[in-house]
Amino acid sequence: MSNQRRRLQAPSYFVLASLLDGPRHGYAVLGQVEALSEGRVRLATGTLYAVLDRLHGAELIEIVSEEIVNGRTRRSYALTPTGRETLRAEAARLAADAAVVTDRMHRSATRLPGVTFA
Amino acid sequence: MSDALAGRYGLLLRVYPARYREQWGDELLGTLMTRADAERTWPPAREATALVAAGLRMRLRANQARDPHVAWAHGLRTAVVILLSAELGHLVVGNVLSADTGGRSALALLLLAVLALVAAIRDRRRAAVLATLGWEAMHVWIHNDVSFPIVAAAVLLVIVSLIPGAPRRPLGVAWGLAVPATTVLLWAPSLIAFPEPVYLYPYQQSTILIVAVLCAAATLFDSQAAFVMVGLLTAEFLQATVRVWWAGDSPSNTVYHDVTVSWWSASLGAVSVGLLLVGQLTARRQARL
Repeated sequence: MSNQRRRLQAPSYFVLASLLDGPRHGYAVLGQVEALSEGRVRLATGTLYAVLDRLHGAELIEIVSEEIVNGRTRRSYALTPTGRETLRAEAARLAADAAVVTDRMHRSATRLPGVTFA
Repeated sequence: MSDALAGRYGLLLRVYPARYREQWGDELLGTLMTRADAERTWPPAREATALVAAGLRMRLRANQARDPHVAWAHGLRTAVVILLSAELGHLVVGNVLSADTGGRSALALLLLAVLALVAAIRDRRRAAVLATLGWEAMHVWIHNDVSFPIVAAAVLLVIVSLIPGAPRRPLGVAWGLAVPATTVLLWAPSLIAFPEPVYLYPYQQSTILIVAVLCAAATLFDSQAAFVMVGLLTAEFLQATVRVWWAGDSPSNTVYHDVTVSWWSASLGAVSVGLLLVGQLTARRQARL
């Protein structure tokens, strides 16, 4: 199965989204995921690295730098072209799924007198 | 940053497989320590639970296929190895119990059986199909009947060869132990009561049912388990449903066949279809990144 066609779970989706603006290391990814999801997705550190391992294995992210901070390894991750395309495809799929509901709600609201759809 | 906290996190990280710890352990520990309050000496429950859960999941799913095609191919091929192992064990035990070495033809049969099993374990698909067909032909010639487990193995090997995008994945040499393991499992009453003959059919049916339940439970962790069981049930289904015989003592005479559906074969068919559906759904879910 090509990676572009593979569905993403919510943690993977937000981790990839957190790298859209540029490379980030693990701790920064955690903060960005929480910010982007407005606190709905709070990843535990173990979960983050399981996600990074999967995304790295699927070549959706790559390690762009590695340094030693306080005696421990710290790597920065960036989206690969495949990762960017997978994220774009998943966002389009989610938008299409959402449109199924919002369009129907809009149509039914306009049919009912006195009801407006914001 | 407390050394005690780092030590406790280090202990929790031992839940992960060594390969994972080598690649990610140091960085994971660094991030855990960056995230921790300065005064903290014990890992927060949420982090500890997530580490243990992720580590166990990684161990249980170490060989999990990330593509449904691969899960099908590897699951069915594993079933072939088990079927061939059981049949090889059957061959050896049958000879021992009947105290019949069988001469040259039996030796040729044994060699073909070993060749088919080794080719299946090494994932040499064409060689495995040819050796399995040769084994079946030789079996018909010597024993004057059809061995459905060998037929099922040949059919499954052909299916595996036709599945697109499934890379070769040789199994470890430890799979050779499947021969004594399946022999002991399927023939235990006969081996215990030897030299007294034992009617094995109910025992073997119960064993198959127990293994089917275990495989169904294992499917929760790895979709390949469903395909392994479907492969095994295919052999049992053929054996319970199809009957082939011929006039006289040679299949070159008129060949007759009959299909009989019993409660047992219908149950096997229903369980197989159910397992295929569950396996496919699990494989698709596990393929999500």
